[in-house]
Amino acid sequence: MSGKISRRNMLLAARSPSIDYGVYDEASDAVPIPPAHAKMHPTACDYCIVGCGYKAYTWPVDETGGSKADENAFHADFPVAAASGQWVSPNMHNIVKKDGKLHHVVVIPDGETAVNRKGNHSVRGGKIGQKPYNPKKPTADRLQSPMVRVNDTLQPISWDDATSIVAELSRYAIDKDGPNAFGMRYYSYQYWENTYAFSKLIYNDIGTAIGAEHDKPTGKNDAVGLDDSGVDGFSTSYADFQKADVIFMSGFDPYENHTILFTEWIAPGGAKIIFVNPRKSPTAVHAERNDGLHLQVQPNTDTVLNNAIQRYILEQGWEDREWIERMTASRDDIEKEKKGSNWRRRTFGQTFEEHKAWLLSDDTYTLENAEKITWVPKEKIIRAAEMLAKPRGKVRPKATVMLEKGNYWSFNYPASASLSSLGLVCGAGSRPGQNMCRAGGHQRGGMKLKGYPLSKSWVQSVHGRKGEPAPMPVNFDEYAMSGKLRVCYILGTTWLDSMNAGQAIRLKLGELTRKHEIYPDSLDKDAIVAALKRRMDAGGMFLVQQDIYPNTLTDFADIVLPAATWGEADFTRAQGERRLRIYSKFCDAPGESKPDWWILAQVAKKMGFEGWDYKDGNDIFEEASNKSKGGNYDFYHVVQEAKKAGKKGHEFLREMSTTGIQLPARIVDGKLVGTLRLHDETFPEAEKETASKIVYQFKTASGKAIFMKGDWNLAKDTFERFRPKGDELWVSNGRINQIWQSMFDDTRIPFVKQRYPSNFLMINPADAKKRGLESGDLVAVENDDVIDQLGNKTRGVVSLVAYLTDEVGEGVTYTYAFYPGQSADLIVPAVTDPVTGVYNYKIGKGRVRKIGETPLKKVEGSMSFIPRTAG
Amino acid sequence: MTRRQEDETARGEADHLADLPICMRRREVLAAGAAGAAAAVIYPQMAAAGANTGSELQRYPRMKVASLSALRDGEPVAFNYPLNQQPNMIVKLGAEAQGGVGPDSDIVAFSVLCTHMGGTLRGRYKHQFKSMGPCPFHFSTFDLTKGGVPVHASATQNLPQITLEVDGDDVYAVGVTGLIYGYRDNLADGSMAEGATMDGATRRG
Ligand code: SF4
Ligand code: FES
Repeated sequence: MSGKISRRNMLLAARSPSIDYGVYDEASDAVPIPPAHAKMHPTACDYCIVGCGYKAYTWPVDETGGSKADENAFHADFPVAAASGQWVSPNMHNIVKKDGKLHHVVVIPDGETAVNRKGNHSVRGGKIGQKPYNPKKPTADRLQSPMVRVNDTLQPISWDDATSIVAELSRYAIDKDGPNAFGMRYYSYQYWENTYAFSKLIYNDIGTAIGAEHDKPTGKNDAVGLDDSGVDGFSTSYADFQKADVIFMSGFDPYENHTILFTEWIAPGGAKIIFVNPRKSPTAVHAERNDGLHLQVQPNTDTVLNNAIQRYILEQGWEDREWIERMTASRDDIEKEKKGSNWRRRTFGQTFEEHKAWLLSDDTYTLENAEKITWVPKEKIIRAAEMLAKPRGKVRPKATVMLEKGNYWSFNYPASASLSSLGLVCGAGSRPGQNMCRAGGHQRGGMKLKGYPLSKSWVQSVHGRKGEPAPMPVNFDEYAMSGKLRVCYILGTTWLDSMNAGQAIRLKLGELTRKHEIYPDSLDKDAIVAALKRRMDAGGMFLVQQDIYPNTLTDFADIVLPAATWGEADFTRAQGERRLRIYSKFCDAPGESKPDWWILAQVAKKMGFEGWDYKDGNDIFEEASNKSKGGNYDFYHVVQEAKKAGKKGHEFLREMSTTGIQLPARIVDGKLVGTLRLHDETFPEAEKETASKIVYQFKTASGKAIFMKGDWNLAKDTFERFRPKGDELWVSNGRINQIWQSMFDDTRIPFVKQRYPSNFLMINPADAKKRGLESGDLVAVENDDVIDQLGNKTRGVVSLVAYLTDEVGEGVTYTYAFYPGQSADLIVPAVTDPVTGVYNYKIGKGRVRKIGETPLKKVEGSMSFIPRTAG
Repeated sequence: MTRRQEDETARGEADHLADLPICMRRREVLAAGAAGAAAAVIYPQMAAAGANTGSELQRYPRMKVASLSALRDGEPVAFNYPLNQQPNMIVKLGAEAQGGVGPDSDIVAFSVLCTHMGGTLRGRYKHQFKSMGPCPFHFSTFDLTKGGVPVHASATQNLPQITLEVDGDDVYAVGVTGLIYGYRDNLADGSMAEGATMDGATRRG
């Protein structure tokens, strides 16, 4: 079917928005401030991993605070001073309904929290006050009632009918075709009450192997090579970064995407930065100005770079030998890892000596070859090695090593494994200032009753040890597109705007659902169920969408279920230092929308499952605390202490306000205490009996860290096949400051939308000149080699606005990954890592040509084309 | 106000912090005291701001801020408006701009208080790019040809733009789009800028 798009399918793609050329922020020159008696609700930012603390103040609409200290809730005299954390920007204010009555709300960064001291914030959290539903603002299109598609039209129905339809069809499919007839794609981050419920329904009660998290085609881990070395991705405290001499940053941009981690913790700490990124972004400029280094790597070649730096360190004898001997695994230790579930450690795990011998024997990682493959000059590779590991006299530099998706979404396994072994060579992983961790994406909002059941998967990697099983998770997208999935439940994720070969998924999904010849033609619940059973029997699919806004998927869904979100119910989760907080309810959920856990509970009960009689989110929170015991997010004692005090877990946590508690929570001398870091060799001996082993050892069978072999041979052929050739350019993608991964909100916030009214293609002026391009031109990006999930060669196309900048070098372009309707993944082939099954998200390329001009070129266009490296 | 005056104001406000690398580093922060204290150094007028007059203007005043004939390409001139404690700058960009006045529609004026947390942007106009920033506190950078939209920023509002009018050779400030950092209302909690008048004042909003 490659290349053939039926007229029906083209109509289905109608939701792709046109470019919002007219957007502007209606800037106000005054703002109501909370009066002294305004009610304060502690919460935290909804967005990035840092999890800054916020306070939401609500008060009735007919009142306002005054400018004297005793007249407002901040006890501040206005005007307030710089860096006071007391200024209310107009985008922090909104009008909401609370208990059915109109209220002002101001959501302001909390200067008293331990995370974003003095009220520092990024643009994302800073304007989070615009997130709540307001019928006079662009948030007016919130989903507010359950809907069912009848005669090709979505129609409101009751919750009772909607949940009965989902439950009856799910029960029917599972009874007929087994648990794998049911599959769910779900977010992994949006609060423990919800994610615990997902795992309970799909992995525990139904027992399907068809599950995937929002950001990958599987239900398994992210930075797999790091996990395999025994290091938890979130093992540090932010204050640890201030103790480092040098920080190696692989594949992320902390100013853009972890802003407070950078502006509040890393930059003031003064560590030298080694910044590995194909873009010369503002962080790269900062690094170079402050005695750091920017390694402008060719996209997808991080594995070679990491190994070349290690090899040079080993050749010089600069490894942290004493620490390595003490803290890393022997051959016997590695053999203790379980067959099957820990097959990767058994296959790719190395002792230090084995690791060294391997690196020195593979010429791929010589300075000369590495320069050729990575485009990083060998002098800079040497400089990086010196900064990380060259002792000054007897003193080693304190090196911290971090990674994120630019690394592990290139070639998932070898890139992340090579990074973790680089860290171990430098002695990073178990001490303040010498840590190893992820920078992070979303906050840690995944709480599980049961994880993805690898034992039920039939997929095997060809790379396992001879004679031993090597299970990999099932690829959700491939399974769905192959037509085997009967019930496809998509929960809180923009599936169709974020997965590789996205256009191929849309085309196939249309055939299985909305375009299918069998569809309901009545609003009678039983008739709807009967029609959709017939569709499933005929090889079609029943598609459920549960979300807060309509998106591309809504054009395909049979049932749409409206969810309540941040600020509309009490929720909990942890951030990047494992800090657990409450996200307080401060306004009413719009219309009939309900928290995700509530919706799942109705469906589960109607499917006949037990243990779903939850009165409120707190019931789930308390139940989940039992399951958390011994893990990295152990909050058992938080709930136990609450019980002792005669309080609900949520209320107890609310009293800890925006600072919360760093998990695992422990009892020391009868008092509830938090834990600063994991794998901590400085952890007090006397407290060991209060903690599980991961607090003071690595997370492996032996407690020792393992060198994981990050072998370029796992990636080389794919790299050669898909790298740009002829007049093609790399089309790399990722997040960017301002719109991060929050377009579902930001597209409804004019202040943010005006900056990027369209997705862009950053292109080097030299490459632009060859193509006759200026900033503001409309360009087509086309890739003829988008292999889809079923192995078909398809063509991916996306139109973008050109943004000329030397932020990207020649041969490399960059686009924002998740722009609704203009997402980067449309032109990225669905090739997966042969060890982990995760997509190679960054392997996009394409031909770029001008197809028109946009009004953004003119002075009245709201989009700025000033290079972000300006100044 | 002359170029020399602009320089002096800049020195008075930013002094030893203006030339810091983009983000303050550990040792420098220690040297400057806590950032809160540093802020007080930058804004003596704001530290004392609690002593507001309580007077609240109902409309934006009108105030002469420059002469067309005296403005030079790329040379900002400082002025306070609409209240005495609200520092701004007017500049001839040499390129057409949103809200620009003058024969080339290239004269614009903006607040110099970063809309993130009030860092001073004085002395940070970059003529090559027609941009303001990066802010010495946390990098925010604004495009002066496009209404002060952030190029990249932690700020949650465009840089407030001063509405200008030209009468003969005189350039007048007559209004403000956006809320000036530190204030709950551009026209409250301070006294009217020296030289401003309510004759010909514009209605707000
Ligand atoms: S840094 Fe992250 S958590 Fe903090 S305000 Fe920004 S998006 Fe929110
Ligand atoms: S105060 Fe200007 S960027 Fe923070």
